[in-house]
Amino acid sequence: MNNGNAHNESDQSVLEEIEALKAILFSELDVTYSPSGRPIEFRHTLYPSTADDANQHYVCLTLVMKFPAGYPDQPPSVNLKNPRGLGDDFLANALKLCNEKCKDFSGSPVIYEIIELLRECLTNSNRPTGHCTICLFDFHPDDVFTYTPCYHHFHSHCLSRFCESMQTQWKEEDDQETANNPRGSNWKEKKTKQFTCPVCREVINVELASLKLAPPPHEVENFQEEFSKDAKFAAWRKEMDKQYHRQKTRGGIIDKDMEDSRFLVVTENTAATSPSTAETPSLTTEEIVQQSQSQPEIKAAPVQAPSTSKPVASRPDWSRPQQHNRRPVRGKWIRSSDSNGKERPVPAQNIARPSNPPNRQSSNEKHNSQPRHRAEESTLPVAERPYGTAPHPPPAARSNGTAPHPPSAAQVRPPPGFAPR
Amino acid sequence: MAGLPRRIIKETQRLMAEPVPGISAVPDEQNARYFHVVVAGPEGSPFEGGVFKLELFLPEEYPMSAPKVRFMTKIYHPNIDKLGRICLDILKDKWSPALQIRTVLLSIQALLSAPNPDDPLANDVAELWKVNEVEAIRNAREWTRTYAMGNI
Repeated sequence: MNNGNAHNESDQSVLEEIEALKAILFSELDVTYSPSGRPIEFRHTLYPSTADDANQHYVCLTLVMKFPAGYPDQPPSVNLKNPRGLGDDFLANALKLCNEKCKDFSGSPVIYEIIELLRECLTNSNRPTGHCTICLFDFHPDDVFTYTPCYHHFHSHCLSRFCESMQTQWKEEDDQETANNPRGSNWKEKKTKQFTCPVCREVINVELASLKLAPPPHEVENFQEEFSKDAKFAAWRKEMDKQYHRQKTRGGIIDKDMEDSRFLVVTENTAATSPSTAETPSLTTEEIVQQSQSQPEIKAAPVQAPSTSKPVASRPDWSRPQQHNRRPVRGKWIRSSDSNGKERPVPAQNIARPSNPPNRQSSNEKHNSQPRHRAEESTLPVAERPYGTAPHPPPAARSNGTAPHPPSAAQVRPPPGFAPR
Repeated sequence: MAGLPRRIIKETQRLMAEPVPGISAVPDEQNARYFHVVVAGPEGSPFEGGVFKLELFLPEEYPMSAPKVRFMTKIYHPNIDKLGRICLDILKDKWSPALQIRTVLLSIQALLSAPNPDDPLANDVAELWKVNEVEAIRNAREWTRTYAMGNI
């Protein structure tokens, strides 16, 4: 096995297999070669077999195979990447079948067998089996769902809510922009306003009007459970309270009032929050956080200056106390009223600039122009990972460079076999 | 408030049933949108051994807008200020409804492992972190030991 001849034979056999695949698949293949010209890795994105009608593809995945020295006598390694619309169960099962197939075909070319096997699996599961990442509920056969060009699936209802919320946010930004620059002297670059996929932030085209027609997801409508506070819950809470009091005794808990006075700020007004948050007193600080971190706009916007709080001398604008509660109605808030002041929404545009908000040490302007956050390196939610490991984008965030050319736009489209509504 | 959104119930259930290692998040008895959170300092970081208390609140628009999170336990970190406010993009303009309470808390835990003094919220801390990292890390350890020990 370890002599040169055997290796050459193995190399030759992989090369021939790849050549044959090119002919069968009618496409250029993504193959990585070793310096000596031996294929070591093969990637191919697979879709269900739907007579090449890309509009009928609801799921896909990328097959990654690696060929150890000695393949095909040594089994290749099989990996399934960038799954779209596929649940964990599907992936585990498909991977198991692939590995069995590799074992069965030990000694003979297996790549095409694996491709066929996966296509069959995909064809049998050609509808999303995961959950909608917006509502966290599964796709019910009665649901109207949609998927983006990046193959991320959502209930149409959920995606439309997301888009509407984005629109509301944009409108608020625009309104504020107008308020700040009544004469329209806008020196800032207009931020492009495009819908982006909630999962991977790819720009998506959305036919919002048709999405809006979709009914709410079946499971959401029929979900009756309530969260029950069992013994475990009580134990956790008790333990947490104990920890809190221990830390408090040792001076380990941030004393908001003291820190505030160090800032020379007065924030008593913020104490009058909405009833629903009243029992969580320190939350008011949180509200200030949101407020202050998006604040620099205020300087240029006397209109925005809240009348709710005492103006305080020698305090930078960012920390101006402002009363604001949660907005009861999406998209509407009232600028200044003592009892009813609403939290100013936090438009992305505002936040992007002042990434280092309030600080009493120095203004450190230079950082304002580079709102780079650590977590931004991954464009996505940080995947669950063990302690101490460096942040990395979760699989979904990794480039889908192998991503297919999917349907042109997200559309409401019931999957095959789903009753059209 | 018209009923708690199903998504929040679902997230809460999962947080309790399959807690993230090193993170507990428990809703308040009176307000199901307010969570008591404890995050363990990540291994290998100067916060190791500490347990950090945070509070998390889900605003009315959640999940269309980000949860509000704040450290309650004192912590010496360039991206967390004296009031416990956190500089993290996903809590601001990079929020997406595909994120959840658990992913937010994981990101915060990751921020403890990887402080970013180039994008500071606490400038004095960030300054020291850049000029004299050894001393900054010593301070962070000291603070952790002084303020964030869960037992004793």
